[in-house]
Amino acid sequence: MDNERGPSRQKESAIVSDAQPAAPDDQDSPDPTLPLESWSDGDLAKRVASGDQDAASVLILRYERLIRSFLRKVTGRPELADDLAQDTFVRLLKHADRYDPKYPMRTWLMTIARRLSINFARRADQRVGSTEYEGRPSQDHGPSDQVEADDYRSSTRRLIDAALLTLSEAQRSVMVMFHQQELTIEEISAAMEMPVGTVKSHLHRARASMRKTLGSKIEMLNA
Amino acid sequence: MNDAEQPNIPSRLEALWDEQRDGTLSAAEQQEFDALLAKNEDARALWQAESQWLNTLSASRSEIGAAALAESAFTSRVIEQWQTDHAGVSSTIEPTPESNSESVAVIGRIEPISPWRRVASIAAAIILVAGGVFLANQMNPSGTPGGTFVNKGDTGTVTPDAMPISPVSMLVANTNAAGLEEAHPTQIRRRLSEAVAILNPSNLVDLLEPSMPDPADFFEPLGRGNKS
Repeated sequence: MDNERGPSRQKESAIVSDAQPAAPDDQDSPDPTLPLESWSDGDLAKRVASGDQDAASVLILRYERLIRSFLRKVTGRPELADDLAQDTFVRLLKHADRYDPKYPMRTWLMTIARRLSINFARRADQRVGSTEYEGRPSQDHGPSDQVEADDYRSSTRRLIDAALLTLSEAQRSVMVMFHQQELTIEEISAAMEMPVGTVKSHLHRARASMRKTLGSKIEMLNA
Repeated sequence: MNDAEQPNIPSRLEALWDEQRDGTLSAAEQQEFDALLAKNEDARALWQAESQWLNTLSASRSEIGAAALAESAFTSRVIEQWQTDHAGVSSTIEPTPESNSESVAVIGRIEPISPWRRVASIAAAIILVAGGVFLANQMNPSGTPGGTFVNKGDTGTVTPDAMPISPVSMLVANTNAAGLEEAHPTQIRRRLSEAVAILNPSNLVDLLEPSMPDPADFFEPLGRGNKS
């Protein structure tokens, strides 16, 4: 029932998201008879750097959900999120030769995705002179959202989306990375290029803010 | 309970609360946290509500359904854009996104410079040609300074005034003289003024104007020399 992840949380969340588990990079070259889906991120990146489209497809499928769902929560706009996700993966493929297998691929992708979303928000601010991007609840839900408009889960999700958009960009990113994508504090620190202490500070403030915003509303939904 | 009626959570409980959510609670701290939560009903209700929306947030990771992922439009769009960019790179030297702004800035600086570089190259070429013509004429043994022509086959005494003079020959010939001014003061001044005049851009234009006669004609008076 509870979202209580004990002290073992950080140990269990190595490189496992919704992505397919990647083989470790403990061998020089992968067995070519194995399907690409079982190849490690590093080996796939090498193939992508040489222009292999099949390897590129496997990498995209491995991290597509992670990046698209992260950007949807951070931007609050599914179509924009998908455009930014597309740009994120294009950058990954173009610069695959720079990937260092010592670091998790998802952290690298998160960094790219977050930078792109920040850049977009800055450009949007410059264009309209106000925050077109931040603090605006999503109005752009898909057909399934419309069908389930009265559904409890859908209502809760909308409340959460709206509450997330009241946070600062850093707090929102930390919140989504930790509680939605289940990255560790250290991984978030790497992805956001900030100290662990700062990540924790953002996370605690974000939770406190959302607790305040959502506390009574969730109780009303439960009633 | 509304926003203004947030329960007053003891500071110790609040600290353990965040530690628990971060997943950094020790076993002893977990026991302490459970005990504190059990004593505080409002805090317990808030904790449960928070757990509920955090679970919903976590579950939203899979809100992009399997069907949407199976539809390969996203992947194919990415691959297509990547291939388009890749083709661009193979045909042109495309700067990386990180260096893009710098490359554009460099190109922006080169573009205004290029016309000036072209003009300077043309001017340097003209000066070299004109200088070469000038020196060639000075060294031409058939020409004489001051408009004094030497007849072909003339074996008479050549006076210093009739000798072809060039700045180089003057410098070489007068190293032991009292000075250039003493040796040929008039010629030196005239040669210098001629050199300055030739380097004058307007005169350069006249010099290279197709309607103007070849400068050599002034020094090679074929059929018009002083015939005795």
